[in-house]
Amino acid sequence: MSVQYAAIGWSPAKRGYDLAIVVGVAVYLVLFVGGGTLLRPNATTETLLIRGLGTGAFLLLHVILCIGPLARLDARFLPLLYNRRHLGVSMFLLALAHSVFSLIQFHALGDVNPLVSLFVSNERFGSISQFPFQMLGFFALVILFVMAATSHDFWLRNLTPMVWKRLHMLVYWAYALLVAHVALGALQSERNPVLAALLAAGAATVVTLHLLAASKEARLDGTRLAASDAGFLDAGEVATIPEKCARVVSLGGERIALFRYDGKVSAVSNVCQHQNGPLGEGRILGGCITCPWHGYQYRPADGASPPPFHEKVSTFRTRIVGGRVLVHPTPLPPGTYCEPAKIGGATVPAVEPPPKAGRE
Amino acid sequence: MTWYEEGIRVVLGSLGLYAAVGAVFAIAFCLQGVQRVDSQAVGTGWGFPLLIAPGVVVFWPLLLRRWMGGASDPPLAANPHRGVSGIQDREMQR
Repeated sequence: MSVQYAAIGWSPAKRGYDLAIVVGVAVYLVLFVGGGTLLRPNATTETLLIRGLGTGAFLLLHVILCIGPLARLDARFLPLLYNRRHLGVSMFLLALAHSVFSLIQFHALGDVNPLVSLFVSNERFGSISQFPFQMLGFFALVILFVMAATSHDFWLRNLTPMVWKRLHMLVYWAYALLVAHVALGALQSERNPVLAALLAAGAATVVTLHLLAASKEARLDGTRLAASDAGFLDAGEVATIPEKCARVVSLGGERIALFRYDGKVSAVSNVCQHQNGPLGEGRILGGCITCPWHGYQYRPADGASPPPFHEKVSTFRTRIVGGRVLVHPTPLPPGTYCEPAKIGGATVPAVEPPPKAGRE
Repeated sequence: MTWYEEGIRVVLGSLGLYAAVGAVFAIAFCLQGVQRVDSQAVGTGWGFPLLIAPGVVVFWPLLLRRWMGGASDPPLAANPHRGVSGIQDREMQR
């Protein structure tokens, strides 16, 4: 929640998450370099460290890319999503260390600027076995740097969530560049088919999980609600909405979360103001809808964050008729109070004309 | 020197210059400007400016324009629901 920025909003869960990252990375590097020393006595420690950092970053990137679709397919993966930014920054730092050590090892010993050397020392663009794969890694690193540099909430707010999201979607370009970087680099010198199979399996896992998650989303967006009276749409039986939880419906491609709580139903935009998180996949905690991604909270009746916070989302008028939830598709201005529909009661919210543009 | 190598030197040199200007700007922005363009940055500790500084080096033209323009808060993101309900700017959110 945002009133004043903090460098990092530490919590016990975040500390545990970060500790697991640090320990995991350290153990991996020790095993990689230690095991490499035993298996490849001729390999230098510098080379093993460069490869350990590179493979560690690449593995972390796979984990990062899989967390999103996994969380959409199964809510049990949501805790991994909460602090994914820290995982992303850790992955960038590993990739940066891999790049700096590689630059020093392979490009800093001549009289040409190492960065210039990276681009001009090999121009065999037509060769597969000798392709200048380092450039691909460089471009991927630039993308990962921009992502890591803009990972703070300050950037989310100042670039706006939409631009920020688009910027961070560049991770898929970075991933493609890195797959090519590995295929045209390490796999050309290490001809072990197991390594090629691992690379293919990793890419197949990432692609398959994204397709499964997209398929689930498409099914939701493809559902059309039946029209009811006075412009309301039939959003289904109220009994199907779990207490303190929501069911998400799609209206013209935009999603609405119908929350059931304390014998009432309220509808809000499914899009969290913070990072466009799926509010409908969250729960009502302490009387507030709580975004499953980063815990931003909104009161269900007016879509406003409790003071002193000031985030707001759009609300929608609801009715309950014959045990079915009816929702009006026109959003009310963010933060507008809307009488919740009462389950089993005679209360029906006053139907007012849709608001026009203007201040609250 | 080939045209390719010369081109690489020009591009990398230009990027270096852009980053150098950005680094100088980042010092001023993190010390003063950030509090002018974003009310949530007022009264933060030293860790916050350090964390945003690398991004300032990248996006300094955007932040310079906002600082010079006297904006006190970032624009509110477009959102289909907000668009339909007529809410377009952050002032309406307050």
